Amino acid sequence: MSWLTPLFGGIVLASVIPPLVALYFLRLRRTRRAIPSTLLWKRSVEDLRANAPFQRLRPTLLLFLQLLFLALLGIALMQPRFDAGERREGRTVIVVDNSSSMNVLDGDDSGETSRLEFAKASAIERIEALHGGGLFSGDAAEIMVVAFNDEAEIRTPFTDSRQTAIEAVRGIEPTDGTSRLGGALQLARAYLTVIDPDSQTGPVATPAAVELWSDGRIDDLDEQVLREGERLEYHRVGSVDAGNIGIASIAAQRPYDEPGKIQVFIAVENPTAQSRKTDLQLSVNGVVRAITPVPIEIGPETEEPGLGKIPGRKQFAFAPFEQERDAVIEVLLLNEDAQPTDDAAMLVVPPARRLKVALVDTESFVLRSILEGMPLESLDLLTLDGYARLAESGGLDDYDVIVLDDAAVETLPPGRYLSFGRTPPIDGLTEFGDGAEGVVVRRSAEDHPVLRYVNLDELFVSSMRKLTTGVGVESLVDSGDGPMIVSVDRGSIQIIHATFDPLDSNWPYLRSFVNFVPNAIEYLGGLGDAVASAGVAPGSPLIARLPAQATDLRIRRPDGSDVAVESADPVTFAWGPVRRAGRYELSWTEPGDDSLRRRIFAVNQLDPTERRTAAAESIELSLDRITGEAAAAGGTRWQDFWPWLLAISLGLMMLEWWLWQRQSAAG
Amino acid sequence: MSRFPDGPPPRSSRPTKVDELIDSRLMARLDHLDVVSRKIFNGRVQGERRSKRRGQSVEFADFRPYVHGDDLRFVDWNIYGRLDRLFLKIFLEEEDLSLIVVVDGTSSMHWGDPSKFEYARRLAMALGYIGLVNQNRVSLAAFGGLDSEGESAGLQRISNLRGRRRTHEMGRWLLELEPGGDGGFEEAMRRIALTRQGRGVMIVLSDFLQKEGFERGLRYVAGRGYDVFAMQVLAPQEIDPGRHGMSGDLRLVDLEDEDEAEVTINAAVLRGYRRRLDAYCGSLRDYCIRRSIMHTLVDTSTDLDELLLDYLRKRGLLR
Repeated sequence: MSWLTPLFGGIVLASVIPPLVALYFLRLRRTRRAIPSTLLWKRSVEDLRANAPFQRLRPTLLLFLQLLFLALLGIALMQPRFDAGERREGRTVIVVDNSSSMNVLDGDDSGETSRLEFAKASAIERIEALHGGGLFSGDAAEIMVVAFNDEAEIRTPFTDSRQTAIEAVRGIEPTDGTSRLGGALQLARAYLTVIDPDSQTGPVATPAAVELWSDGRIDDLDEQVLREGERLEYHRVGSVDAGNIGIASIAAQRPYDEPGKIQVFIAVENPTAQSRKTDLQLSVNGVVRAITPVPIEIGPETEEPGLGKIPGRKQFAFAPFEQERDAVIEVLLLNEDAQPTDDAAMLVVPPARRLKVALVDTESFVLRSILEGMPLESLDLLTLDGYARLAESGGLDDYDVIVLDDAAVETLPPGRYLSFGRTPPIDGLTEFGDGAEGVVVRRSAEDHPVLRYVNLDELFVSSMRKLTTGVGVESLVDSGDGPMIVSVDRGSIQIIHATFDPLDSNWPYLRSFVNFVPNAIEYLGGLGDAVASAGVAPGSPLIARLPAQATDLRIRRPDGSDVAVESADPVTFAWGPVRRAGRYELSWTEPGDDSLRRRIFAVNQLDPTERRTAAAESIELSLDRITGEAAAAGGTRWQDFWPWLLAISLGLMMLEWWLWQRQSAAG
Repeated sequence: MSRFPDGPPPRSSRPTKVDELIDSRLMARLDHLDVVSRKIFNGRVQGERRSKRRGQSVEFADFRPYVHGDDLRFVDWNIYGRLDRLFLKIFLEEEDLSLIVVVDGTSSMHWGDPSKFEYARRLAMALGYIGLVNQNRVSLAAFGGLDSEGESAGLQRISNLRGRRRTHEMGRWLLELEPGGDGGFEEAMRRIALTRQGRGVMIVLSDFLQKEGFERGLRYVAGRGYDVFAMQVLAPQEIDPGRHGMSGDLRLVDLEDEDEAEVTINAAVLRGYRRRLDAYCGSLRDYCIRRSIMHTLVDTSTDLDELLLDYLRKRGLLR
């Protein structure tokens, strides 16, 4: 038991009980009685002088009840509580991890409490223990509550209100995001730093204790350094033996020669020391298409020198199946583990279709030959005048990709463009100088889908336009004289632009050109890598291109809840970031068409750190190693005792009143 | 209305006639009693009892050798004839008895049911009557008390009453006594001792609850030619207050000096009071024994007839 405000209660008791006794004596109306002499009486009283107070205090039930009432009231004002813990004044930052791994159901022994729920209960206990402030005390610890996954969120800035801090913790929602502590620490430090304009030494950071509730599976621990005066306490949540296997990656592909089929690839990882087996289930649009004939076994993690522990990994390819239309593909691990989030992965595969491409003002037979060799729906050759007419009439909307072969176009309607040579008229691309000659590649973004299998080591450009790039322009290939290939995304307009004419280089003679053009066409046309995309990771926004006339946009979340959304950009829809994994469905309508258009988004949690669900016994920062203590177990809560005392004291007061009434009535 | 709930009894209940002090029936019964002195004293006039002083009575007492100046009438000439020496015959002279009854008239006596003062006044009347009937020289004195103007009257006395016919005079004097005032016991005893006229029996009727102490007062009269009887008059409410309704939270007020004592009556306090009262009475009794004073504790609830006819006879004051 602890007392939150012992001093206050003591003062009240000390100031109330003596006056009560004094009032009792004052209220004691002694009957005056004449006697022959007080001689003997005084001597008799002197004999009892040692017990004089008790001689005065003739046993009286009413006084006893009043004293008991006041004593209970005073004790209640001291705010006794059971299971008292440490009290600490000063500033404390409560940091709660609400990443995906905190959804593991091993918060307590029941197996029904998630780590996050347990961490929240434990943090609330801690707040109540830390908080010295009862109803009447002002020396409460200041507490700040921060929740973090891949982003940190201040649930409440520093407050001395216990209830505010508790409500802030209670309001922390589970997510399927990853864990990054840096943001939380930065936010805490921002609130701890006092900027005094009169100070000559600059901002002063007040020291604070940071208390972290987490399973210790945090991505950026090695990037964090505790500053002077900072203290980090790690409350470990979850079992250190928790086992889990999860889907590490998922991909789907339409075979080049069989675009009506889809083949799904899956990788499963086992970040534990024991090998595990599981069945895989493949569903298409909610219908089970395949289950692995025998459970696949994933080996245990292994220790690699210099790399640390490498999870056991198993890759599996489902047999191709016919699916002309678009499909939502879901793969499930049919095993029981505590972390269900990574046991499912989803993909949205667009329908099999071929692209319509327009080639404008071409003089290059090489480019035309490559395009003619691609399995396109159609390839139209446009002159500059034809382009201008279609641009004015809106006819360019029929083309998935428009290829500008050193074409001097004046307008650039919304669309997707692959451009060579002349700089297209769009913000962010500005020519300067006289151009460069004899340019070779210095760097290329080889991981970009456009540059897949594109080796530019032998590329030599005799003449190139020199560009400065603005916001929203990504340089894919750089030379010593500036960007050679850039990607511009303006929402409704998306361009892949090479700053040189291929005929001014040896590129047409290189195999990389033959790979680059189809890559760019497929990338801009929404095919190819889009099929193999692993969807959206939690923490990312949902982005989609919509018809400009799309209205009544709504999002249906994985839990079935529906929310109306508005998009600031009439063409590009963005919503989020999403916090939970699963299937999101965007729906809209278009004028003149009552049918509801839909777009499915798959949000998968495939982060390897979150997959490693065994709680870390210690966390290693860049310089410090902090051993965690298991968070308060048992789910016990501070039990206020003072309401009971108050109730009893009120009962006593009523009893005393009743007795007094009875005595008064008796005479 | 009295200042105190248990204050002095109202004046209307007090006797106003001599008959109310002593009725004829009691007087008739007292006619057969006489005050007994443990000593033989000489009086101023010849009385009805022997005196140690040799005198002129017929009862021979002793011889002594003649010295010059002796009355030749008392020479025993027969002895002179036989022995040829002059001896005087000494006769016991019969003297009257001096009886002094001292009444405590302080405020402390004016309390109790019946009032200690009224009881003492009636007792003094009865004892004085016995003395008058037996031709004793009766004097009455009262200390404390108030005069007609309500001031302290000091020592009041009426002296040398003799014979039954003085009964009414003695009664009126007693009736005129107004109790009140405080203290004065020691001074009264001193003045009585200084104005002593002969020897005799002194009966002091008081509660002896003097805060200044009773010792010095009694010392003035003890062994100075008085056969002293100290009759301590206490009311039953004093002897056993618990049985007479003394309870609760009280502010006790001393009738004499208005000193106050706040007492919450409980069993322990009552026991302590009884111990104190017993010790006080015991100390008075012991003091009296040492000074050859007879101490008698009188409870005012005791019937006066019973006290006079039975108790005091047994105690040897009356016969």
